[in-house]
Amino acid sequence: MITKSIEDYLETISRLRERGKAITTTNIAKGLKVSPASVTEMLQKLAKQGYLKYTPYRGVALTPKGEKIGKKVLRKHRVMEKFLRTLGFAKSRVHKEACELEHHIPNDLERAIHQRIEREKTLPPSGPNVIPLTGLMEGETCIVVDILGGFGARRRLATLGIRTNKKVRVITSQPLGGPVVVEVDRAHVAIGRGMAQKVLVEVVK
Amino acid sequence: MRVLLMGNPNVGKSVVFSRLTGTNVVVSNYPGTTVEFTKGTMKIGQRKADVIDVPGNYTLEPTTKAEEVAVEMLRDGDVVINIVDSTNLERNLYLTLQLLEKKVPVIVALNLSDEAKHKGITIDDKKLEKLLDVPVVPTVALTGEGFKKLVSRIPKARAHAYRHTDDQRWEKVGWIAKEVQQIVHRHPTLAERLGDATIRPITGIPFAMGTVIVMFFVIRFIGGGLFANVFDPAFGAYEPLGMRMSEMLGSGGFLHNILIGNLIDGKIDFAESMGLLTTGIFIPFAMVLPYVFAFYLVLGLLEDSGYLPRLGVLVDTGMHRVGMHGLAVVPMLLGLGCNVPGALSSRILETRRQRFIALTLMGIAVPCMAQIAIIFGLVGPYGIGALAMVFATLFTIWAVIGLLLNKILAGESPEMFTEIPPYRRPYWGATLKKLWIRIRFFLTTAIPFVLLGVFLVNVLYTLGIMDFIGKIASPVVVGMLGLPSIATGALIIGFLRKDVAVGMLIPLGLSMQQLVIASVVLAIYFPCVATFAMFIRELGIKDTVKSTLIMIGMALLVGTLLRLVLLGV
Repeated sequence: MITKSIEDYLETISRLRERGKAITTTNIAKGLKVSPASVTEMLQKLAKQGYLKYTPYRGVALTPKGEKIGKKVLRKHRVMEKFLRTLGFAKSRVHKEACELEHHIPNDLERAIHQRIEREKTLPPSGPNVIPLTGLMEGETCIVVDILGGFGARRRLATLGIRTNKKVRVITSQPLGGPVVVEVDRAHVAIGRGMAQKVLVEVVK
Repeated sequence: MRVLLMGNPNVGKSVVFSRLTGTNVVVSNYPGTTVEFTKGTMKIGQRKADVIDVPGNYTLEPTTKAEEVAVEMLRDGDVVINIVDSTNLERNLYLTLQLLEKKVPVIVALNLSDEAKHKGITIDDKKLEKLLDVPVVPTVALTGEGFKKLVSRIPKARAHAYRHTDDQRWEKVGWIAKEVQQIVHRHPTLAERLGDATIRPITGIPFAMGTVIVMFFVIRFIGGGLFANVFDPAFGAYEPLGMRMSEMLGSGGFLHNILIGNLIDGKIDFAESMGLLTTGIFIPFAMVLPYVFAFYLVLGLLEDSGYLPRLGVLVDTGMHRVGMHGLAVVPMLLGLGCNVPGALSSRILETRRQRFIALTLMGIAVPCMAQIAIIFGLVGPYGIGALAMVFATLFTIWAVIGLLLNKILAGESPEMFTEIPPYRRPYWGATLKKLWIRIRFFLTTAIPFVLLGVFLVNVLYTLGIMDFIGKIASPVVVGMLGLPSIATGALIIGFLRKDVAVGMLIPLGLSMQQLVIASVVLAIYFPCVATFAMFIRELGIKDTVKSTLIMIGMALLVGTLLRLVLLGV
């Protein structure tokens, strides 16, 4: 059985190789945030199961079997990261969740998500997660994905910090068609309802 | 040498200005515009330099009048002190980069560095200095920290001529901000939580109402207190001197009438005598000045604390109904002080339509503090109910006319888009300097007109012209408004000065109801001459005439209605 821990090791080794770094116990330990001693122990185990070849003090080389699993987990990790980012999750959260999800997501689902992300890159942002700023409730946080309207409107919004990829928190959305007050870069900005309608955002949960 | 202070709005620029300059400060308009700036002087080493507080702006693209002026001023500037808000480095550095494209020596004051610390932001000013290649000095304008260093490094200011597109600039700004600043998450401070609470409708609306009520009573308390305890006694002490002058002038005759006025029971009555040396100075100094002082003190604190934009957000929906947006609270509140600066400040509204509505509503239903002070003195003795009647009527008219104008007038009314600054403790130096500038403005513009008004009253009465006009106008004044024909004089003088006009009602022995009618009509029917001139400058002749016709029509309509309601006939 391929355990979560085995996948993590193979993934980390693949990543190191991709980046052209030396595949040493120290580097693996750093990547996995474990002690070098436990790495040595695990590498011996993995070698026994035929995932890699391990020569103490020389280094590690993945077998074709090991390489296949390592690459697959690494790919799943990256797809999940991308996916979570399009949902508007913060960077720190994205990595953490992807580390978990990579072990559970079936191959076909991973492929489907990957295709969707690639297609959306070429389309203007839309879909269930993209809504105008006016649709947010008090206290919700979102990422600006696009600003409709001409150059002038974009420029005006930009001067007060409302630009794409900016994180924005709604302080208050005044009733009866009043303005929306948001926090961006720790500063507060009041935006008239019509202008706020043109700011497309994705809610961050 | 000319030093320009430039930066985004709300970065503490005026506090920096107030720190750098002495007491000799002038407010002037940039030639050909109504864009105001403040000018003072400072010393750099042994040299004297002019310091100009350029109106705050976010970019140097000339999209608004204020920005145009800023770009224009840049040409005459020898060095720019760029005031940067440390709590929002990215947005502020955008303007800095634009300044570094203009071939003018720049020095950066990293202001509000204490506030940044509270918010968990640390900025490596040495590194920022290296990256921008101009001197960078952290400052705390409120306490004066860093100012000596700032001044000493002004000669080190450096000019650059970079070239960027908008996107390149944002990219570079983002990179610099990332390189020099470290942010630790902090829990919101009390001021921040208060800031949020006062802008959310549920908590904010009661707070706003409370603020208005407190403001009203504080103004009445300070204004009334200053009058009763300082200015009235002062004039009491001045009375013997006045009587001696009266005797020297022979206790009667034309010159006596003009200088001292009518003696009442053989004595000077400062409120009623109508002489240049009695009522002519009593009205502006004793009756009006205390209230003007109290009003501008309270307004200055409201402005400098950062509350007004929040109030603007809360009233935005309502203001849209009358064709403006939330920031129109600023000209309206300023108009309560004096309609002249009120009209001037209406340019924060973007379109001509909005400005027309703002000025017309101001002219009709926003009495200035001079007028309010006299109304307090005149109607106040009949209790808060009588005062409420005057102001409730004015407010109703304001709303009704606004709704109508918004329906009738063609054109668009843009929306509010503004920064909401954090609450800050006002710096007394800057608040008092502004108060002084405003009081000085009141004294220099009001007193000549008050004196002219008092002089004209005497001349017109002596020559019998007032009686003549009174007869002609009697169908309107007596027939429609239910006032004695002698009250016509007040309406005439009201063209010149509203406070003198309301003051002229004092000796007429009017009933409470008549006082309410007269006060409201005087408020509505025409702006004073100084405001009228301002209207022409801001709106042009044609629109000013339109606006004036609305005022006269409304004055007659509302006056007649009030008469029917209050007097019953």
